Amino acid sequence: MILIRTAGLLGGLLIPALAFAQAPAPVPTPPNAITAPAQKAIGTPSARKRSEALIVLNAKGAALSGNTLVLSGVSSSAILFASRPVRGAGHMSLPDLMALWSTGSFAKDPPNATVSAFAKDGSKVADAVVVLKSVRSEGGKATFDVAVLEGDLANADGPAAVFIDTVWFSLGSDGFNYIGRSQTTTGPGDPAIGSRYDTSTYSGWSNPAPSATGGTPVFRSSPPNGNYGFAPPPPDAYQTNPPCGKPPLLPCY
Amino acid sequence: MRILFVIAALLLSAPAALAQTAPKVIGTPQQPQLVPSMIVINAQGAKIEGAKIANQKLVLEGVAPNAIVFADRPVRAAGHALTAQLLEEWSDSSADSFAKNPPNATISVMNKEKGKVADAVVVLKSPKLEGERLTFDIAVLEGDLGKADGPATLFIDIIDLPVARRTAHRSAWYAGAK
Repeated sequence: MILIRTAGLLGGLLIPALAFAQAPAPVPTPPNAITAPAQKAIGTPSARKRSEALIVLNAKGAALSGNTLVLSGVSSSAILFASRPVRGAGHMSLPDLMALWSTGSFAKDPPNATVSAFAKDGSKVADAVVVLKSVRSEGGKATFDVAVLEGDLANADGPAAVFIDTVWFSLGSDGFNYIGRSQTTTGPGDPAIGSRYDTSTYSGWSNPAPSATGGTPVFRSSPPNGNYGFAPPPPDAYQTNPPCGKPPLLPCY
Repeated sequence: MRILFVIAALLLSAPAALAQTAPKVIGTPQQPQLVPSMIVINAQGAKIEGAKIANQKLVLEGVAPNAIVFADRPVRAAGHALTAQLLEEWSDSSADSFAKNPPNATISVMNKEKGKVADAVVVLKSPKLEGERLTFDIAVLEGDLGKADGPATLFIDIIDLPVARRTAHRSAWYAGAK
């Protein structure tokens, strides 16, 4: 009796197992930037030790064919973000950004960038690492001449963003910027960007930004009385006769 | 008597814990739980509507379909998320949701005339997205946008609300160079 019952149980277990075996095996989806966040570095990390600013450009769509990257419905301003010397964010107009390729530091040293595009419903993402060699824009479209280093955008038909991680361009160089509520630089040393010890902790933000001390204002577009009172950023190299040389100085032309 | 109960409960639960075969990782999650510290939304233009302090609205025209997110922890990273999915942060009922704890933000609007900008610090409540028009109920803390007519950017600094938000799980993230 017990045997029969066990056989019945086993049979019951086997039938769905067989049915499952006949169905085609589900194709595993490879990890992408949503399922495995922050595994890919923006651009390609070289021996570079510091990064001054992230530049982000967003668009309604991106298409990569051959050596041309077309951003359609590109936003009219680019976003800048820096973790050091103070945590800050800013934006600059698209023509100002594009000028960097003709007269600015990108003319001689074209930046690497990661292009990332969503599927329309946001469930999938595709990305590519490219060198942005030159840019032109007309009617809400920006066209880049690129060299593809890795990846492709496949059929991603949703909103896209271009992330440029650069040492040659920093907050304060151009555009308008604001100091965030906390800063990640811990002092006179040179904290590593990827290090978790040089950033905040869950229990608190041990290194408040200058704008946090007064209370309400979140951002400040200029230091109070010309003085931060706390870890002032170095003078902006782009504003007055930039010194040039090896990084972190600007390249000499 | 209560202590006895506790001991009994401990004794009963102990075999269950021992029976577990897979080792548990202490403290660290399997995937990096990126904590967004700043959210940035781009738009073609922005204005503040309504004269009364209690009834003001921030209107973003031509808002980008994706928002840019930045994280400082556990690693420095940048990513993007669909704007529609980001706005669900305001409909969440958890204690850290933007509905219960509306974030401050700076709205910065350029002028078409080069080199001029206007900005205001606001509290963002109840977003409404209709097509490419995004409206927030706001309280203005300082500043005003005047007649600024150029592209606008909304910076939402949430570094003091360090929570692994649902937006972070849906975002595509890329690490900053090390």
